[in-house]
Amino acid sequence: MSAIRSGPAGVSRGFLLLTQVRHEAQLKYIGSVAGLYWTILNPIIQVGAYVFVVTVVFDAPLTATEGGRLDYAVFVLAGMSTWLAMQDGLISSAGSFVRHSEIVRNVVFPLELLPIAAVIVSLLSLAVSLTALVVIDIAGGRDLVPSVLSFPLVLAVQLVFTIGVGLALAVMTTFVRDLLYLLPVLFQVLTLFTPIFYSIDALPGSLQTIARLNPIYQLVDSYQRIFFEGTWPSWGGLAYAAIVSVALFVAGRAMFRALKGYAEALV
Amino acid sequence: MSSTALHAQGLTKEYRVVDVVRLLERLRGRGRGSPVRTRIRALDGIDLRIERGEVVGLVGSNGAGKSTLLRVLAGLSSPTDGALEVNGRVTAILEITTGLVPEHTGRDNVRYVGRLYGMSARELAEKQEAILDFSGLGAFADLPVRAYSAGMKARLAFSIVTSVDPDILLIDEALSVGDAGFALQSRQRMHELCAHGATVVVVSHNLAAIRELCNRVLWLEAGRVARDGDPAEVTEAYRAVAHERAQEELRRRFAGRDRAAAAHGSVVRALRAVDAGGIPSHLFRLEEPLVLEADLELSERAPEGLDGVLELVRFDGVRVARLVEPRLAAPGGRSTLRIDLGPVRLGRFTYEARLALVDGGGREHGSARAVFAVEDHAHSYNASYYQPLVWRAEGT
Repeated sequence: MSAIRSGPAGVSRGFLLLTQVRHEAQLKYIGSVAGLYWTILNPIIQVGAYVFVVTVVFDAPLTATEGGRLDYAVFVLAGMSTWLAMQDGLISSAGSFVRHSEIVRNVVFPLELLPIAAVIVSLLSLAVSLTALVVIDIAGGRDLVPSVLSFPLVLAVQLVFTIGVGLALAVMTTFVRDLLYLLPVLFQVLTLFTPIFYSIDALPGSLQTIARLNPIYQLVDSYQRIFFEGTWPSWGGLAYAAIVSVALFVAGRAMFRALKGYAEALV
Repeated sequence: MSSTALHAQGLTKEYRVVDVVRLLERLRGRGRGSPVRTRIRALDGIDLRIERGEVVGLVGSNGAGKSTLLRVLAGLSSPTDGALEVNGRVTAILEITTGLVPEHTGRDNVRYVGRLYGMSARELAEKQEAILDFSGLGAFADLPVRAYSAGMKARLAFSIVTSVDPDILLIDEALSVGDAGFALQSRQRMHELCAHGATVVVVSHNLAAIRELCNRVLWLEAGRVARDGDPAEVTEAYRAVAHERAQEELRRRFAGRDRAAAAHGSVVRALRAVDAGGIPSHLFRLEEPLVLEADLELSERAPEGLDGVLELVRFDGVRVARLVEPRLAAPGGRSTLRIDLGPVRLGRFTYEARLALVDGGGREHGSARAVFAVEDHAHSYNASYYQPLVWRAEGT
């Protein structure tokens, strides 16, 4: 049996991926007035809302940071930046087959590039929030070196996780369109249950254990340590997240390969 | 490289269709007995070997599996069973406007869609102007595709996709895009591609185009290869069967539609269309001899010299002809009237013929109707070609 959808033989996959990433980015920002500005505004609005609710509305003691309001904002932004990127990447890769149904139906094209391109485009917003973080960190006199050297590793784990789950979601959505409506709600709930705008120490003991099992939390924690505390990530936690991510990636890829042959008839 | 471009063995594709509404009913404990899952076998064990450079036409009725076979050959759809070997770079043209981005200009779309279909940056740089030129968009090339007419989009897409130099080209019904001028242009492009030595598999209902283009034709029937061979032979065999089926279908649909009405004692008992062999038929090919046959029964008291009035009415209500034979010479009592219309020169449509006998005062003395259809149009002819007709009645 020939490889199904090996893609056009004339060009490399890298070239096709690049084409698709550019196209996806253009699609995402082309129709909106503020275009790229939304990418910048989104984390600012989200972080601002959390800071306002926690420090002003609830007037909660800032146990996570023991510092002032700005400190707390940096803490939230550090965790939120990776979280928003993952959320964006997963939702947009889940919809990638449906969004590009014409390609899925009619073009001899390596389909895995569709969710992968969606994930890569979601890194754009991450780059924006990270730039903001680094600027604030340096202005506030935080030492990012040497812990920031571990960031590529954290990012790699995050990509493996997001692409793995994204591949599975892309094919699952062709079978169950409801996922497109379910995912945003799910992420909203998960935002609250992941220690992003509070410290994990605020949770009761048993819930702490459960929270630590969430690989997304381990990534959030790594970001918080690197960009807020200026320390190395928890190696054990990161290793755990890496193992889970690789496992999810392998499973997601297997699922993708098993189901992509049906997508053409469903989208 | 092997000389075989495509080699399929026992290729089978089954679709399982789940009826969600029934499924929900079943879950609520209702609608028992009706199947929730249906299996549709679109391809049923196809064995096929296509050599490099062959231009193969696929014909068959709707649902015979032509498009499914193309999709599986393209690798867009995985077969449920069987093996497929593909040697070479495949390009498939299935839905013609595929991938065009409405917000982008025609020029940008050439770049994006070209890449999607596997053109390299260099190839695109070389071909971009030629593609836009071929599409004939002119100044529209720099406007967003959103502003294009459907025909312009199709032309742009066709120009891009056929500019890829594939080893194997799979085309579904793409021979007729755009206006008449572009259709000619695209026909030429197809010939060029075939002449370049590409292996081509093309699906079309246009048998003339298939015969002209291909050097081998496959006739698919219910997911199997019914016939495989010389284009003229296979298309003719397919046409004959398709004609027979259409005839049968029309007979079923118009059963009881050919009817007669009597008045003033004179009757046109029946009217029917018959072919050259005198056999009643509902379906005529363009230029095929058509005779209308009427069974008359004229009362002795009928005024001398009734006029014969024949009306041809298209099924959308347009009367294409009203032909009068003054003082129809017909014996009293029973007779058969034959109206020879010669070779059919009507547009492809379904028609109702109505024959009435009318006296000098405009009173009808009996009428009858018959339905027939004309297929395989090349041109639309005007009914005035029928003048003069030969009307002859003989006693029976």
